[in-house]
Amino acid sequence: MTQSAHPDKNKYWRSLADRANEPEFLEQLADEFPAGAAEMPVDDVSRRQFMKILGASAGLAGVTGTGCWRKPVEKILPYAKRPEDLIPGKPLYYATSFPLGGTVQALLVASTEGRPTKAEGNPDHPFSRGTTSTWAQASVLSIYDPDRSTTPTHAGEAATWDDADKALANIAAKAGGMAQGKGLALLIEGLPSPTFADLVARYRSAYPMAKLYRHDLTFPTQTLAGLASVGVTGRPLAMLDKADVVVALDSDFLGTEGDTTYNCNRFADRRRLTSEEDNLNRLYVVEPNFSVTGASADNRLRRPASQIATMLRLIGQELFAAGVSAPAGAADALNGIPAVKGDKQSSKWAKAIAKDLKAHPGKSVIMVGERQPAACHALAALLNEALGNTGKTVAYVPEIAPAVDGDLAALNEDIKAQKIDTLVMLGGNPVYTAPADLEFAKQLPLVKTSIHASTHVDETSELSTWHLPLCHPLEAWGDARSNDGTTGVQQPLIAPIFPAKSEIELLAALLGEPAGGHDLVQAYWKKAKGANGDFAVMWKRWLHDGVIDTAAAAPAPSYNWSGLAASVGALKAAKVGPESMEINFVLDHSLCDGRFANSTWLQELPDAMTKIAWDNAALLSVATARRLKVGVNDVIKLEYNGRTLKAAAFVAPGLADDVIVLPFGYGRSAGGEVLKGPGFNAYALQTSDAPYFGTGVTVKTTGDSYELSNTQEHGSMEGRPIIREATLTEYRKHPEFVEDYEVMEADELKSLWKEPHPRTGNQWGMSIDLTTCTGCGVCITACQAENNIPVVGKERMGYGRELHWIRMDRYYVGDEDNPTAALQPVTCMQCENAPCESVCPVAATTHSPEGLNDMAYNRCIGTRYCSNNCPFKVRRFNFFNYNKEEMNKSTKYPELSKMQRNPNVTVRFRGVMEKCTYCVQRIQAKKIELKVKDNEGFVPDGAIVTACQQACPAQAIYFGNLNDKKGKLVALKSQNRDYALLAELNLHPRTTYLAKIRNPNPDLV
Amino acid sequence: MTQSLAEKYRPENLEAYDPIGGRHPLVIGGETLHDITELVCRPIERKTPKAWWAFFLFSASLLGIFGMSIAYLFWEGTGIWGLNNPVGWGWAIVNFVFWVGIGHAGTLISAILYLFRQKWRTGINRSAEAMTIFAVMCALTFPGIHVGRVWAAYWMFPIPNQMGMWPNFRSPLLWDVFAVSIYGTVSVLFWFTGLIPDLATMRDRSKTKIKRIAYGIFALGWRGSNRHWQHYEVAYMILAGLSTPLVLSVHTIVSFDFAVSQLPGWHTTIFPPYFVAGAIFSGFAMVLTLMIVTRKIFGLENIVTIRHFENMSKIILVTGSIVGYAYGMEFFISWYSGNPYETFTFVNRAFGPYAWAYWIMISCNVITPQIFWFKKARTSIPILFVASIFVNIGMWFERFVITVTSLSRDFLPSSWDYFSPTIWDISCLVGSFGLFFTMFSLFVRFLPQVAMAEVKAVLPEADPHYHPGDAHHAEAEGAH
Repeated sequence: MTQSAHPDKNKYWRSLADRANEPEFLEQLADEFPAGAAEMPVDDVSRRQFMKILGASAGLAGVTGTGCWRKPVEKILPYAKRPEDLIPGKPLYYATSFPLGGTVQALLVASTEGRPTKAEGNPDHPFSRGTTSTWAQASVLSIYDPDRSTTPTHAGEAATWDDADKALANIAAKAGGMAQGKGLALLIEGLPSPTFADLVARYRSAYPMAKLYRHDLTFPTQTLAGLASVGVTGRPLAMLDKADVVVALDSDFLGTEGDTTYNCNRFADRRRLTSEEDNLNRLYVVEPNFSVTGASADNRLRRPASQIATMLRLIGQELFAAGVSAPAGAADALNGIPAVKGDKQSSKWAKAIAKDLKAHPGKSVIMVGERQPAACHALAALLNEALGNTGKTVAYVPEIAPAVDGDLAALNEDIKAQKIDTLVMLGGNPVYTAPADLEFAKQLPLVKTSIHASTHVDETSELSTWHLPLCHPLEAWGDARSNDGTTGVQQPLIAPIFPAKSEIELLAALLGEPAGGHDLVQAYWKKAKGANGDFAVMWKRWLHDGVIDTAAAAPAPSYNWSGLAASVGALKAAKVGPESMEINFVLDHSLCDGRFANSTWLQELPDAMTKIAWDNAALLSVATARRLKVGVNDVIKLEYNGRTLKAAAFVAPGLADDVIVLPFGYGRSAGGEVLKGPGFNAYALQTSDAPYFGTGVTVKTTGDSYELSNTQEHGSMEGRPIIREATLTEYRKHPEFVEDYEVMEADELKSLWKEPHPRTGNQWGMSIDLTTCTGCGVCITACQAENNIPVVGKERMGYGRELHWIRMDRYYVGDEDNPTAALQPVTCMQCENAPCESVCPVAATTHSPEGLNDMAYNRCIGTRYCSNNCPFKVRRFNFFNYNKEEMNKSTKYPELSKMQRNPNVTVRFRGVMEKCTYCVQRIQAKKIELKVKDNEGFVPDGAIVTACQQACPAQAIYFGNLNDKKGKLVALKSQNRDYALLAELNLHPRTTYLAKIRNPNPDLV
Repeated sequence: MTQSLAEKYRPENLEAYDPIGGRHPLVIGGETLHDITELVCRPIERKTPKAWWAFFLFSASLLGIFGMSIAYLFWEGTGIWGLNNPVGWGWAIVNFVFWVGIGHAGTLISAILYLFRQKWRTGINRSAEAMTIFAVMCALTFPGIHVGRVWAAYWMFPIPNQMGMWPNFRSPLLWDVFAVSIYGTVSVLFWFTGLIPDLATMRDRSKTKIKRIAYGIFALGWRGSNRHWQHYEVAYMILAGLSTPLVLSVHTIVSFDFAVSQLPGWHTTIFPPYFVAGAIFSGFAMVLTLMIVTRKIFGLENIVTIRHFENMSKIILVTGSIVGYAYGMEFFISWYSGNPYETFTFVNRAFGPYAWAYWIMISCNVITPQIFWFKKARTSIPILFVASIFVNIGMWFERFVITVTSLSRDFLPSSWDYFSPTIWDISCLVGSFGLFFTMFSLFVRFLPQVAMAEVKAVLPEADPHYHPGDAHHAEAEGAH
């Protein structure tokens, strides 16, 4: 480079600086390749140093063997053309409806790159208010069920949809015209869809001789029949948010019956206390089983189901005796009802309830469960009318479900009489759900052509000539009307995974007018709304909001009480005692009537009260079990009406004595791999004349035993201040009552050290209100869906290896024969002084600046020390590679189970501890959206909702920012009911509870 | 001369005294220096007996079970054990603490008794130390295999890594890593140092080249010169000094795994001394069990005498009583503290679902050693043997009771659950005995199981004032 010092005319210059021969340039030139460049430091690490580290790392990698692993080759392909609005990793939400038997869940379903991954309630839907049921939460799993049927079958052989369409067209052609549908029968479920109802109406007009039956245990058949008998057309809708006094007679309205989420939500509205000055509604429950509704009761009386009608009549007698006037035109009917006499306790309760009801005219409601006979519903309607509740706390919303020719028993008779040669069954599984006395499995093959549409090849499909795959609700177009009258669109989230058709499509094909679901729904609504030019705009709005029409006011019913006296008079209170025990069939908390039996999430969801997972059991009260010398896990032989069933016994405190409760839904034999095995088929004992309860069951011990998997073996709090509870009176007298429970004085709980974490910026916390929480367990399934929590199976649940991050603890209080129960959701408390953090040898669980007790799954080596040191035992360990097992379970479709996974949550490997982190992925997503960094900026309280909180129908869970002093969380936590679980350990949990307040009738205490 | 001495100090003549020290002779039967060498070396040098093969193959097959269980464990995950949600630690940790405890006697005998000039230790220290090392090997296996992701278990060591992560120095498990590995290392060093003069003896007596080279390498060129002895004594003393605090610290730190947590039944300040006492207790019991058998088989009755057993049974009595006191004190404190969780835990231990385990523990650990108040029991081989087995069983159950009963019923009754072991829990425990006995059988086959050099040093002949035939002197001393 020396030439530059001697500029040459002919030399090319590099820059103007070069040409000018500036000294800086010369210096720079010399520095470009200085002597010893090889040792030049790069970021303070010399080359040699770098090579050393490189060598050491390679060596270590070799030593540990990590470098020798062959990782599977996985290809990721980018979108060549990105679909509109789709940002990979960011879910899109679509409003839809999830019909379930007689009810509807309005949903907002997250779609991740086209896969439905999480169902939430639709907050714009006035009926749903953004909450969901367990069943809706599990819908995103059942859509990916690898056991779903993939193809139509004819006579057991796989067929094509072309064949199936042809068969349907043939039926339509044969039934049409002069035949008027003779010999054709249609069996439906309680699908609450206007389009479906319209198509059924068309079916009726097209085939006037054809028959229509309905069989659906989730449909309020007895209720509607009872109401119809007194001239009421419509389904009762209890407006619990307006009721001060609720009397539930064998009605599990918070658990399994009807619109549980709606009921739960509106009921909780009246239990949300802000201080001791607030009022609380009062819930009386009289029931044979111990349901979650019973656990929420302020006063609960256990009575066999056979005596519920008597209880209702007693309440009625007391009401009228106390001077409540009979409704117009009912006086004669009332006089015609013979008086009943109850036992001493029933009479006392009836008197007290009647007194309370009378004091709250127009602000009370009597609810009778669907399990009770029709006459009870009619009588309840009368009492509600007499109390002035009609239109105020109870409305009768006109039913859209089509009127049918009969139920399954009627269909069965018609098959026997050879009146039916073609039977189309849209959904349902009548061979399994039919009462045993019908022997429907024997009758069905007598039908010449039977077509069964269902999502799985189940017991009915196996006996039908045709099986047609039915769409999952999230794959189908449709519409749905909630029980308050709000209508909404059902839009598919995904094309059918396996070729399938929806109920309305099949019905249209049966009418000989095959059409797609989208067109059918649009056609119906064009007709209903008038096909003006705005329709396209309206349609888009409906799809966006998920709501078509909000509810119109229910019309006032026009009663006709004339038949009441006879029907109520005909109610016989069967005697229940050791000599004649009563059997009760109830819908299962998890599996409903059995339709969800192939859902692993729902099988794994422990029963709300018994905490049994993967099974049902014959439940007996403590005294009955003692009398019969039956213990938990003993197999007993139930004999009822000449039929026998062996079932595992389970001793459930709080049941009525001499009563056996056996939930439906288990003991299935076909329709998937999951459902085979667990439980006992209650339908094998059920009879069509008394579908829900009857007396005369005998119990024999067999000496065998059956292993039930129970997630909570110990039901007593052992005198520990776990659930803190008071009556409203006590609370008012002593508002600071929660402090009395403290084991340690507050001033004894001091730290030796200064607080290590500055509590600035966003500080997350949670409040769980035990007064509103009913213990339904939706939070468990919601969490499972959100956080990719795998299923462990029955055996491991029995070991105590359940993986649910949030669990529902249930404790009994009081006498073991007649206890009260309280439920408590427990999940990671995010302790400020977290005992788990200090013991982890590899610092895999550490504290975030925002107060979360984080888990670095990649760092965890699985010593389980953290779990041992966690007093709440909320940490969950992957004892096996559960996720891989789940994927390998289906050899046919291993990819399917992956599709539900939330891409924002790590799928944990074997040997790793996992736990709740307040849905940290949701926190991060919101922070990114609001461009908030750690400890910089602020996320307002309420901006983030956790999965459990979002799903909770009672909105008992609230997550928020402790540093938002004006936020709701701070307000909740500053209530005098607020307490920390195990406060005496000085862990400063970020989750605290609001103590449970009950409002029992002082006359009954 | 030796002839007459031998007569004088016959085993049956227990009233006899060491002519120099004025005490009971430590080696009886009038063994001479050469007799000792022969007694110890002959079994190693003779052809491998069939009985040894039988025992070795039996132990090795148990070890094989261990290996297979571990392989299956690595393949499937810790779920093959009976662990569950409240009970995160089961038999693996119980076995770990059990083996660490066993590993206490050796170093205690060789280091602490050495520093206290307890010369009777010389007869048993070599095998006790070997036992310690093998027990620590067994112990160290368990924390390694019980973690969920074994392939990442090395993260517990403070190795520089690409993650830029240190282990968590607040965690007692990390302290454990240091405590047990240091204890293991120092124990091996100590044992090896003690072995050097004897290895040289073996080398010098070797008749085959392989043996000569093998023993020669490990004898480190020992020639028995004065200078060697001087350095050796210093090194041995230093190592004894180093080991002494470790004997106390290792089980103290193991007890921290429990005591530092906040679980009722674990969170107890009495744990460090109680654990150390328990460890010595179980360690001596294991030494007894082993020595009673080996001394018989190898004909070492004159070196490992009934007096050794008596001394050890006295230690067992003392430490067993300390342990019993600790059990009682735990109960007292659980009541005295007024802590309802604590009270519950201890009542639950004694009367809850694991009461059977608790009462096995009490019977074996507290009641059994009381028999050693009686000299007859202390000097009866069958009683000693049975009692030592009971103590071993009892101490395993002590760890089981502490670990499992506390975990299975803690703060929230909702999470209570019962732990039942699976076949794999059992196979890992049985297999660890396989590892232990395989190592021990190799030890007795290839290494001198008595510290010859040290035993010789406690013979009357070793005394500078020893004059063969000077019976007068001996009697005069004895009369004092």
